[in-house]
Amino acid sequence: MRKHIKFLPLYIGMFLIAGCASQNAIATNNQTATPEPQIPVATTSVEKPVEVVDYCTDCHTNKEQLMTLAQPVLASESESKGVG
Amino acid sequence: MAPLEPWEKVFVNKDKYSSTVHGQFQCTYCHAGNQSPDMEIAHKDMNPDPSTAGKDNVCATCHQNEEEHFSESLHASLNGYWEKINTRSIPENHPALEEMFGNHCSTCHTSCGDCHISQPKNVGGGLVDGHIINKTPSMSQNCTACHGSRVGAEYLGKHEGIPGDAHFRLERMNCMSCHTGDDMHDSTGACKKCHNTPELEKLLTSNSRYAGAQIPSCESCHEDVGKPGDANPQHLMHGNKLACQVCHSIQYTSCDSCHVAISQKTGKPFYETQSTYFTFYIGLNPDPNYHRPYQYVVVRHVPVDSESYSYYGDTLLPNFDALPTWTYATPHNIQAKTPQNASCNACHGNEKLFLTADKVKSEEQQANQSVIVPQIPPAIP
Repeated sequence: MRKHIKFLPLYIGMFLIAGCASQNAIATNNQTATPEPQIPVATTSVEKPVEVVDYCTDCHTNKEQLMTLAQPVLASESESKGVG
Repeated sequence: MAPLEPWEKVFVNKDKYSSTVHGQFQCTYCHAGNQSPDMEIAHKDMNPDPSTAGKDNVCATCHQNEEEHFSESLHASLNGYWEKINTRSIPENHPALEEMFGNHCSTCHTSCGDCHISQPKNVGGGLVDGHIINKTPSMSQNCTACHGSRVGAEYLGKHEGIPGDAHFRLERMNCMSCHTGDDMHDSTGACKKCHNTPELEKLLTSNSRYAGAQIPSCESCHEDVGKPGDANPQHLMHGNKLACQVCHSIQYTSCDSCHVAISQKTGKPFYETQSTYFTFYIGLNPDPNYHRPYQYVVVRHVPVDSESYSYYGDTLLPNFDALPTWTYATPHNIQAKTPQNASCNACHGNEKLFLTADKVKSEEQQANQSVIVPQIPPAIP
């Protein structure tokens, strides 16, 4: 055990060197790798869609309202005679 | 066709329409106008039909192919009318005739919406199906809304005592069964398979609906007719001498003397057709050609006379005799068995069937020289 304690600074030194070496290797690999296409990452916070008021459909889908508002076109009696 | 109620004409079916692709757009995207709760402001600068063929046709944003060719079609351009008017007229009369055309004829031109969304404007307009954009038009509310008095009535059998077309009576075929969307959008599309050089393409510019190939032709479906092995000897015997309608059509509508004017009372255009009657006459083919080689065709009297547009000026049709008033027709009342195909001599030697000179008005004799049958086929002993 004492023998190991004696070499403890050496072990720590080797550990640190080994750590650096492995990081360099990763960095080297990253430089040579083909870049991956960027994939958009889904975010957890989604913006609430703004409620768009569509006045046109509000009216034109309301049968009762249209029955009140839509005026019959007062067509004057056609003077056309015979088959058209 | 039952008229639509005023509210119905502008009612958008929210449940159905909003689930469609077109329903994803705001109304103002196509129709302009304004988003406002005030009806007058909302409708200011609004275009009720943004689908009229031409550069502002909003449908073309996505449907470029359909629009490109449709704008040249007779449905959109009405050039068929102009062709006839120009042939009977002279350039000096064109301004007066253009005014006439604008007042009386141009309302018949068709937009994308007139077939796929609304009833045509000349029958009062109005949304057919809650603004659903129907890929296939409604036969009654779109096609026969315009083509009703002759083609529609004949096809559906609306004339008392005259049966409707066999294709409708027996098979319930509608207009689109024969007249496909491709043909409607691009009437020369099929022609380009053969007319594939610049020289041959020039032949496709005619403004007559009876110029060129028959699209559709009866043979499109009845492929074996007239071919070796055809079980009906009459088909082989008569060959291309007779248009199909000569043997298979029955009485159809003819009209006389349509005159147009502007009402002094209301300021609105109106017309008056002198008479309408049933005829069945076999005439000569006025223009036998590669696609229509027939010697005999069926002819219908069209409601034009030399004074039809006299409200707009004197002698506006000085070349009235340049075209027949009994015109090549394709009545839509086809039957397998007809009075004239009952036997050989039901037709041969039967004077009643043929457009002979005595059946043509004296003032129209010259115009109809190309269709009058000088001598009918003799009876077969």
